[in-house]
Amino acid sequence: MIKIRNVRKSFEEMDAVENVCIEVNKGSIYGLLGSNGAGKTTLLKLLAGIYAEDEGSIAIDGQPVFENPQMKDKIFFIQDHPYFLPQYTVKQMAQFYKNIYSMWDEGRFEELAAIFEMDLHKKIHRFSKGIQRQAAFILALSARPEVLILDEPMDGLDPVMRKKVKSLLIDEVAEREMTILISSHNLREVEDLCDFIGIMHNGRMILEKDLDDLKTDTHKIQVAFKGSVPAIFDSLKILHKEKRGSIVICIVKGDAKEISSYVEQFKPVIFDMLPLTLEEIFIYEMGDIGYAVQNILD
Amino acid sequence: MKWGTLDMQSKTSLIKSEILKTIFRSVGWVSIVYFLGLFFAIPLDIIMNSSGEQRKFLDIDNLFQYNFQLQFIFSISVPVALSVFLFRFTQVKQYSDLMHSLPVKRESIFHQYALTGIMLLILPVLLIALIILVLYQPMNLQDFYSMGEILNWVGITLLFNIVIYLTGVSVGMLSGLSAVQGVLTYIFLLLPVGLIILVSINLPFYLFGFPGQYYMTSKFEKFSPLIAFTQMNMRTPSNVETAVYLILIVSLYFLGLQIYKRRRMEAVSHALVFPITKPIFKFGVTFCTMLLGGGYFGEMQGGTSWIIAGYVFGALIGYAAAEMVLQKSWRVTIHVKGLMVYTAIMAALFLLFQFDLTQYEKSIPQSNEIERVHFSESFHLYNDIDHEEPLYLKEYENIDLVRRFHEKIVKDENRQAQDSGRGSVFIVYELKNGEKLVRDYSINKREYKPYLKLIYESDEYKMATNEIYQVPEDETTKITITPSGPVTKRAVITDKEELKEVVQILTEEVDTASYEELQGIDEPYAHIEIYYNDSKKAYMTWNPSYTRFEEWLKEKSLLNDAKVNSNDISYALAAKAEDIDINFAAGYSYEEVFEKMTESKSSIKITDKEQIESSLGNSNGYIEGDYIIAFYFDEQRTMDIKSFTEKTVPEFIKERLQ
Ligand SMILES: Nc1ncnc2c1ncn2[C@@H]1O[C@H](COP(=O)(O)OP(=O)(O)OP(=O)(O)O)[C@@H](O)[C@H]1O
Ligand SMILES: [Mg+2]
Repeated sequence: MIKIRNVRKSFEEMDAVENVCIEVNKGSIYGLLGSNGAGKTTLLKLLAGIYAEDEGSIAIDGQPVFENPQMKDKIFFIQDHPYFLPQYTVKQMAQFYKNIYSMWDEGRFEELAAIFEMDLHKKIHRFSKGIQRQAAFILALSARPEVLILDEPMDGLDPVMRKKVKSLLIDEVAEREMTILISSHNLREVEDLCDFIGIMHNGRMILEKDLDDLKTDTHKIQVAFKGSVPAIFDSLKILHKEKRGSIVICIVKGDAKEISSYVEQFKPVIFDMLPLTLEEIFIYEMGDIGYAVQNILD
Repeated sequence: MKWGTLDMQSKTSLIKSEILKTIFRSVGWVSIVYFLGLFFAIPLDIIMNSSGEQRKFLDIDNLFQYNFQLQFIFSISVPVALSVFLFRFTQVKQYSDLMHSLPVKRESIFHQYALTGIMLLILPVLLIALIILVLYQPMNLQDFYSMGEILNWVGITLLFNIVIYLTGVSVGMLSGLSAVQGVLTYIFLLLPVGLIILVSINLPFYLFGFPGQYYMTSKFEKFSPLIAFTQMNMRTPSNVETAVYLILIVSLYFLGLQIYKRRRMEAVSHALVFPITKPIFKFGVTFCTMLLGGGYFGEMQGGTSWIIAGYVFGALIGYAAAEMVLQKSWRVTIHVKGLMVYTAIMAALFLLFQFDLTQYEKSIPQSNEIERVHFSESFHLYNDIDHEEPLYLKEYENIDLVRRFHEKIVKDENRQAQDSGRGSVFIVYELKNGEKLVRDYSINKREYKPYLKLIYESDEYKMATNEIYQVPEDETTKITITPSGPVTKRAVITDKEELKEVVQILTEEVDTASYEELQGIDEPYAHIEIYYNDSKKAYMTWNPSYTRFEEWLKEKSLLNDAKVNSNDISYALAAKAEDIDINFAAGYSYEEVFEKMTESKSSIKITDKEQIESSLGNSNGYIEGDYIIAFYFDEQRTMDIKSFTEKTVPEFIKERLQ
């Protein structure tokens, strides 16, 4: 659904986004990760049609976004610091968006306002940061967008609210195949939410992963053999290997069943296959990209 | 109109009522404040000055004359404030991101904002006009002006407001900071006039003969709506002006739209959004402050080294200030390369003008190319608003004479630089091909006396400068001769024959007057008014050299009334200038001088009529000489103070003051 191809965006002399390609399918949740200044916000604003790309193309359902109201009508962007029209109340903002977004759902708005126990008649700029963010979610979801773009959305929400928001988002995706792009510094914050992960560093996309694949594809095995270790590792896809006494621990990629049946052939004394946390997968998988990955794992 | 066509385009670029609502919420107050301000300035003023007593003192013939200063302040501030507040959403990053993520085309956003802004400017003016219309009959405003004036007021006010507002809007599209938008708007509105002034001050330093004043004063106000508006209580804009403003309105609107469509939203909060405007701004400011610095030092101190110092100083300050604005910091990094290119261009410009590579100084048209020429001592004689048509010489000999004189001045350029004299020469050639060539020189008149003498003594020049030549002897009805001095007497001639004679004599006197006599610094004896053809009037002065005229008056026993004489004066006081305790250079009043002379022991009193008569004849009107004489006039109990030089002082005074 979303196709970003070879996009470049520079600010004066500096390239903020360089040669980035992303594809996001309808109904999936894409997590954009990266350290400060990596270019996440810039990429999201390009996608939201706020900035014009210098090179490459950005299209949703084959149509460009920039200056294309029909397309933008289906997109809702929540900024990293939610912003509302000056002096507006939530109710007034709702009226505003109702007039602007054709898919606005007033019933949904009332429902969400009730869920969040939102005071509709107070000026939004008087709310605390977290409540403002809740207001932004209420408004965004009521606009019934096909694509929801969230720039660091969990920032400032308490754990209870995070959970509530996440489950709302997941429901919405499941229910009507909404597509979500979400940026964050922190993998753990979004790992339970995202299907896909893209890691940006210095304006470039350095890694893109399907999280489900990643979890089912990577395994940690512990094996021990009587006597010398047979040459089994040559034909396995090993990401990492270490020896503790007679036990060999390695991280292997591949189908779990295939791996275990292959290893069993050599009659190991000990053979365990352990699940990996996403964090471990990233560390093993991308040891060389060091800093960038380290950062999102904190 | 506009909005209707937008409706057609597509469903999503309809006007959005909520956008209009948010505009009213955020800037509606500007319109309300403007309305209240105008209400205070006009209708309230009408109501408060409605009593018969007050009306007598009202001198009003159009609506601008009610609290014009207030109206002026509103008209230059409200539109700019409106443009700044209205387009806040382009100057605040998050606001901009919000507005530009909405499914609305930029074009549509611009139309909605810009047009609503215009409406917010129009509404208060229309409402005020309506109120005045309601007041018109009950307040008897027809005594002052017609109903049409109300329409005039609405039209002119809106014309200026909208031009200024749209300038603000267009500039706002270039800038990412509201403060810069505001300041730049005013700079733009004043720029043409400012540049004309700066150039007119600076070019004469290089181009010998460049008529700075001519360019500075002529049609000056037309180049800035802000300055033009200051005259709206006295004049209405011409059709051409109105057309220009209307064209400006349309072009500024579409210019703003085009800039907005091309604007990159990431540049919000940059002083200037478009990179190419940055060097233009930077060096534009540098250039202007450079001219300002050079002009200031050049006028105050004179001399090339001062001018150059002024340029360097002005340029550095301007450059630093521009960089500070662009980099938004006090500590700026200087880009040497740009500065060097700029310096090189300025040096080239300097050489271009200094060595007159454009041949500006030497270009003097050929006599046969010239249709006519204006020759006078000052631009003000050319641009005199009281005379419809300035003096022109058309005869070939005179044109050639002016030309040769001009050549001589140009040849002597270097000498002029050292002793820029007391006199000046202003020349306007009107060529046969319709072009104009204007020059202004400051010269030492004494050096060029032969030329000046020939020009001033020429018949054509005399005919053009003396009204007496227009008087037909037969149709003269009355001549009055009013002596210069504090007396009420005057001579009046009404006899047909006498009138004829006087006109003849006066014409001859002017005919034969020499350059020296015409240029003489002697005060005229009297002012002569010649009435002819029922209502026409010619004016001239009685120059002391017109002795035949004096004799004629004596013959007709009119002399006593035509000229101040000893009979008007009861006594005179004389003293050496140095003995009177007054600093003449610092300014003085006649009363003061007279008092000091009365008190002074070293002054003498003259009562002898003959001595007074001879003192009158020899003294000079300016208090510049070595001896000061004060005449006391009985009739009005006032004095007149004159002076003698060492040469003109009568013997008896000199002796008594020894
Ligand atoms: N409007 C702008 N003008 C100039 N440079 C910008 C602008 N916005 C971002 N940048 C620069 O572009 C780079 C990428 O910025 P961006 O905001 O996209 O990073 P980010 O990944 O969102 O960072 P963060 O995690 O801190 O939000 C940064 O180096 C930043 O300085
Ligand atoms: Mg960011």
